Amino acid sequence: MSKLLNKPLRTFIIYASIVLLTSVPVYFFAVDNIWLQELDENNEIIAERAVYQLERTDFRIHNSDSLFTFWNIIQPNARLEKLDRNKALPADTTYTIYKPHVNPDFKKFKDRFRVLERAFILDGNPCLLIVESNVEETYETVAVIAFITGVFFILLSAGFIVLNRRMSDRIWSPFRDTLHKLKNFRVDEGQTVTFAPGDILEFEELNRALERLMTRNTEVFRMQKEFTENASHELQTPLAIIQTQLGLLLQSDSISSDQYHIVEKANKALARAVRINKNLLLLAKVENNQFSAKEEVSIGSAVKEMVDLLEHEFHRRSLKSEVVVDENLIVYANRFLVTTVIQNLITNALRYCHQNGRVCITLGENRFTVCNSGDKELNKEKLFQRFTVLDEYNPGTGIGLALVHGICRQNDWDIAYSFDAGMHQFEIIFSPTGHGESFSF
Amino acid sequence: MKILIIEDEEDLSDSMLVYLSAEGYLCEYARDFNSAMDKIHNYRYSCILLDLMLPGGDGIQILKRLRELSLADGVIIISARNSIDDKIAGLKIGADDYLTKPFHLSELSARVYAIIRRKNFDNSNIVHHHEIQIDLIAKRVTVHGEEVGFTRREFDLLVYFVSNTGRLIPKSAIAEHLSGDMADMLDSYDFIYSHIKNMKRKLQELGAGSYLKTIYGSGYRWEI
Repeated sequence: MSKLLNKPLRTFIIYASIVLLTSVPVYFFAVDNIWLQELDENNEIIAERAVYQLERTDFRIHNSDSLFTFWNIIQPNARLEKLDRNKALPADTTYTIYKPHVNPDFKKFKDRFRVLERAFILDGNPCLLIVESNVEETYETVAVIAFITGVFFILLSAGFIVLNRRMSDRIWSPFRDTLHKLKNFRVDEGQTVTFAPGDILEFEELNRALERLMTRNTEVFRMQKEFTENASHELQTPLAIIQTQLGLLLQSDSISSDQYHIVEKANKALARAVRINKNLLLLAKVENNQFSAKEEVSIGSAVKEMVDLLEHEFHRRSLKSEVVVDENLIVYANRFLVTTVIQNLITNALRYCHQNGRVCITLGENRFTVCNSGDKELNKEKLFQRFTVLDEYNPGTGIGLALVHGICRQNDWDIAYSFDAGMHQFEIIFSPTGHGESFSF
Repeated sequence: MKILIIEDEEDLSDSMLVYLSAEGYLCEYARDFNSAMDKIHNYRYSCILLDLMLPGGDGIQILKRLRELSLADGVIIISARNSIDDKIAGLKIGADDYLTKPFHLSELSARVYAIIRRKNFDNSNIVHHHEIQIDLIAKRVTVHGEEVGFTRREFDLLVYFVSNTGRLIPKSAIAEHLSGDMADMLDSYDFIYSHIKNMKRKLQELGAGSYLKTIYGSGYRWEI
């Protein structure tokens, strides 16, 4: 994932590099052309001046042959050559030639020359004046232009990056503030979130929209919780009536074996309905943070008590149990909720462990781990949701793990599920700081 | 022994009344706050079963009034509010026990029995049943004068059966009594077998008669 501002930055840099790259040949052709034109002009001026002066030379005083010789010895940017008398004077020609460097040490480098050839009559003889000017070599021009372009490209990119960073720090600070508040927002805490006012229209609109959304969500969540709580509450009295009526039915003298078993089945189903109802109510209360009374709870003894109670069940189902309990571990939390967590995790392990399987319960080093043998990994995403059926042949109340999860969240404890080597494992790490403090002595 | 049932739900108070009457208690009921207040001012009860949510007032006020008057009546709060805070508050104000709705009638009966014996109305905290003697305060059981080595849970079971003498107690109720919230989680009531088996064995080893009968394969009845 890249940051939002880095996306246009990359595009800018790519675009700049394309523009600058194409500018290199364009610059080259432009510079080279100007260069050649200027040299042609320069050659023209030299030729004109030379021809003009030569034509005015009095050859009665100066011998033309010695002038020729002398000229070609000096070679003032130009050579003089005699032309065939019988041929017509050729027109001016301009061209570029390459010659090896004059200095023998640099023989392998060739120099580029721009040449103008002009024919004229000197002392009655046709002559050719060849003016040569050194031109910068093509590769040198290209190299210099490319180098300069490169420097500018670096300057441009560095500027983009620095500006981008500065801008993103400044422009995005209200957005980061919003994001931070959003990350910390929990609908179940019933908190109201207010964003600091800013001067960027889009962010302001975003903040207003988010505020509306959060307020509404919090309200809906609160109503939902209230509904759960009220519904569970109202259900308790009718459930109590059913249970007591069934109890009375059993006491009638004429009850038969069949009737007894029917009542027992009803009792069993009723017990489950009661449990679901109680757990729902409990979950609503946990989410409502209604268990504020915290104290130092010795988890070790709570675990031992539970294991003790279930000992027969371990034995009956031939389960191998491995229990390691650090009895000194103390957790600062609500006693009832701690017991609920332990109870749910241990009974779950027992319930879903197959015959002759293994259950291990470990308490120590600030963590509580329960594992049991199983066949396949549970659905991690749905695991802690209400009414998730994890085992269709052995359905529980569907709330136990949701409840455990809720309690862990209220106490800032980490809970994790993993499946490794045929063992389901639930692990709770008690938070070392804050209200959910735990310590050993 | 008189029991006052303060409960506005008629079906519920009726079934409690029927069950407890059959145990030999003399039961009365009050269906709202004011009639409950009248009754506690005018009569004495061994045990009061108190619903907290009543038409006309909060049940906690009745409890407070009872304690202000320094009346010794045993009080069991019976509430739909399964809240630990309520429970602690209730017990602090002076309730003797707290039972959450819904409950098994056998459980209610056992709680009432325990409170009346504990309060020692008519010096009843030692229970005699043929050759078996149960000391409810010291939590000791003797058969022919010889002490039975019961675990806490086995002792609890025995008292539970004795307090429901002659009644058919379904396995589901025993499971709930023994393990509270865990009974349903395990979805199997088999774990109660071993406790009951051990309890019976220990009694019989010391020569007690077998008073606990198994009914229809999974129910139990303590017979006289």
